[in-house]
Amino acid sequence: MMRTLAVLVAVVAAFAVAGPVTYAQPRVTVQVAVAADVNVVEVHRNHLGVAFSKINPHVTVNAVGTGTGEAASRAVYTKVKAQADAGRKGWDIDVGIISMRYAAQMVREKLLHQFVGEMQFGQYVSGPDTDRAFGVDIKGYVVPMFRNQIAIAYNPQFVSRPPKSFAELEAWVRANPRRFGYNGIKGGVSGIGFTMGWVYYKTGRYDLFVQGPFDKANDGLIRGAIEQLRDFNRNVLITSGNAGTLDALNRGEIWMGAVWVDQLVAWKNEGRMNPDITPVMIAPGLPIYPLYLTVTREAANRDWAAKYVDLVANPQIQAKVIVEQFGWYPGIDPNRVMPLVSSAARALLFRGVTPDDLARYSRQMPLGEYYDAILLAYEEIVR
Amino acid sequence: MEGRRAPGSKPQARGRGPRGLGAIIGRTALVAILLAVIVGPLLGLVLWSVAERWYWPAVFPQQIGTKYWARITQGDLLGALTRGVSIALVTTAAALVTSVPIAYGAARARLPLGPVVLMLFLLPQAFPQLPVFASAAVLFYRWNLAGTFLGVVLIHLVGGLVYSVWTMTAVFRAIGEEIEEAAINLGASFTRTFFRITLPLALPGVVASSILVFIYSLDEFTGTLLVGAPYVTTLPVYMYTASLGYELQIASVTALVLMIPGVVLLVAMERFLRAEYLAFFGRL
Amino acid sequence: MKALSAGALGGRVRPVERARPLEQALWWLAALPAIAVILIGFGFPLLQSLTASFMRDGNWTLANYELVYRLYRQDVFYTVGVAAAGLLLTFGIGIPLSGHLRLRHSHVAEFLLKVPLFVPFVVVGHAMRVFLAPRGTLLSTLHALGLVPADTTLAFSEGWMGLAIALAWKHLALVVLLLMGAFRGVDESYLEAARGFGAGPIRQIWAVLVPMAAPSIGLAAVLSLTSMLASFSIPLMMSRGSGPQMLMIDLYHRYGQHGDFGTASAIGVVSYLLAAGAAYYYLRSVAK
Repeated sequence: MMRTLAVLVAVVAAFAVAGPVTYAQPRVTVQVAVAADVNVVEVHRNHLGVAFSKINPHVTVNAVGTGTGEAASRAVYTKVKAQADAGRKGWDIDVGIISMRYAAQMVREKLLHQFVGEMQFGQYVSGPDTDRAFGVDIKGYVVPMFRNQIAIAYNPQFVSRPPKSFAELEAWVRANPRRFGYNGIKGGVSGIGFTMGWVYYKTGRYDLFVQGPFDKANDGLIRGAIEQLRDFNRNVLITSGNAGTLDALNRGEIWMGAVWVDQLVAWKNEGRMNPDITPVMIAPGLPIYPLYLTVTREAANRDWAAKYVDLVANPQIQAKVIVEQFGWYPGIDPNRVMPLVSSAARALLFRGVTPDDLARYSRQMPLGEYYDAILLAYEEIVR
Repeated sequence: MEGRRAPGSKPQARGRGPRGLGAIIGRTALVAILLAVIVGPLLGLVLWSVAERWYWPAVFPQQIGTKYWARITQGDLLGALTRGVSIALVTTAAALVTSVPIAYGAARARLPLGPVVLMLFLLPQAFPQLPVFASAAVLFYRWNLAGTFLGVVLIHLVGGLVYSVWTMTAVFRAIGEEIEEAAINLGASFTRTFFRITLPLALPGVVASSILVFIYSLDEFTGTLLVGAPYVTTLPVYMYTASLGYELQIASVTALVLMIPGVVLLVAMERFLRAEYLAFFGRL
Repeated sequence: MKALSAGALGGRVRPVERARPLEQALWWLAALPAIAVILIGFGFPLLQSLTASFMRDGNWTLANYELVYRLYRQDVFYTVGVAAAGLLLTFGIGIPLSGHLRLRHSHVAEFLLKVPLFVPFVVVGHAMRVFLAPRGTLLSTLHALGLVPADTTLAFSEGWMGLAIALAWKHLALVVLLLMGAFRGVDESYLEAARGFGAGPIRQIWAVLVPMAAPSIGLAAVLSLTSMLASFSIPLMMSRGSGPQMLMIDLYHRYGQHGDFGTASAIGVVSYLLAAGAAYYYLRSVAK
């Protein structure tokens, strides 16, 4: 009896100590908070982080996911803001990999470090989405890890003529009820992007929404478009998230869906998706949404954080890992990256959505205030 | 523990039903139905955990293997497991240490103090947890407890104390005061009596409390999700994340791993969870 | 000796009254940490959520409740409905089952019924989602047994029925445990008397066991109902993209995606009121 008790106590003590000990870090650990789906977290954990440790043997990268959709980025924002408000030094998030929406907010609230100028590959960071986002000047604060395009994926077994425009999509959905799916505005940004695209289409006022000015009077415009979306949704399957749409497509429950192009490619590579399912763009367009690498202002390992971002921005890494292995569009200047990508990978990447399509149909997300207004209208009007 | 009976009453009859064929068929049918209803959904998890490739329209997995079980040895799942178990152990120890004094007090105190104390600890389970924990998370962020081991232990204690306080109170109540009186009459102090007489007698209750709190903490999800994110992840949170990404195989493997401690304890400690112990829960 | 003198007078001094003042103080002190945990981890956050529900941007306002009414009033009814369905299912199965097991002991059945106690809520949600999915394992098994044709889908998992089933599955274990305890506390002589009057098993359950175990049944019902009303993990795992949601899901969405702690707290207050209704009933019945 006493012996078993002693053994029990020893085991308990071992576990109780093991817990806090896993937090003891004699080496440098770069804390990377990834506000994106599990597949993105794994890229950092199993590929980019590992590569970084090989080059810098005493540095480990600890990548953790914070959820999906905008809520995930919000979680990063909340954590960083709490530490800022408390006046602490040495924040526990070094690299925040967050959405455009929250990157803009964090820049505005002075929570991020302006580091791109010090980077080795900083000069390759270009594009309109690295200058301004949601009406905030973000130059020097963000490096896109990749750019992600929302598209309509279709199953050629059931859809002989994919739609080329929102109008055609509307007609198709009416003829094939509950065979189109997207995730609404919860659980993932692919659905939010589709909603934005819908609003651009119905109002025809893309420039107003992207460049402003913000005027509350335009609420009627938004509500009109959302009311039509509500009617559209009657014949639509609303899924639970980005992955939900892909899963429904895979199971044959829907024949077309609004998806992230990269996630579609990733699922195909993992053998979880029918390889025939193809993405297309529809007129007038769907948003492209970058995922930003940022460094927090008072990060505990700020310099190592910047070095890590540098690794991810390296054209070689962008070509081999980001584009070839995972099928994302490059985060830095494509002219620097695409020449390094194999032609086979390029063919797979641009299957269904060509660079030409991207040039014509890729759209920006709207201003922050309009973004919020559209989402609120959706929540109120669409049930 | 036989519980108290009025003098002269008869002991419980156990399973003295008719032994005819009808009764046997009836019993077998009941067990079969329960097996299907209780174990069925869990078998679905087992199936998914070994499905290396399974997509529609196949009715069963196209390819079976242990590829996803091998993930247990990989960093993130193993980390979540270790973290979860150590949090649960620390929570259980803390729960026992803090609840024994108050449970003894509640068991021995004059009315209505005892019931009031019991109700106080029931509140975190009676009230919806998510809004309270979300509010606690806001506070924890301010106090620098969010995302820490200690913060998660604290939030586990809030919900878990009810199990240890209620169980220990019931157990202490069941230990008659006569024994303590005898010791005191022989000269022992109040505290000494407690440690030498009462507590050893209450050991089965201590074990039962520990099991309940341990399992509660291991399985706790809501508080950990809100307070622990993003660095302190336990198995339930890990499972949720995997499930979000439709990684159903990994989610199923995690789910089954989560169940192992519970099942082991269920089998090993079956005798401590006799229904009679819980009869006291019905009477304040 | 001191004790003898007290005993000689015919009075008994309870052990707790023998505690010296220092001892008493130490015991009170030892009891404080537990109370502190409840105050810090529950009491204070609860109060904060109450006040936050009436504030927006630092001003006192009812705007949060107005938003809740505008966006989520349907979900209030949905939540109550699902919880009620789950409760009916749990007790509709639990009472007869416990009664039967009181009368005809079955060790295996009792063991099986304890299993869901040890399955975490999230696991129940995930298992049920996979089990009841439109082309889930339940359907696959039935199909393999030849009981359903090939192209059927089960629309269960996404609707209120799937939720109610999952909630009932999980709560059945605790309810049966509590009921068995109470039923076993009923003296055998009462049942024998009933049998003497010619009562069959059903009458024995309804006329003897249930009335005598009423306090336990009441407690189990209140615990189950409040737990189902406030369920979060299971609906989260079985989440549906559109249509009515359980209130806790709305709360999580408001807090997580929008950081709108004010409206989230307002939803919380609504859920407190729903839970309080059930708890109030229980306290009243116990106070009798």
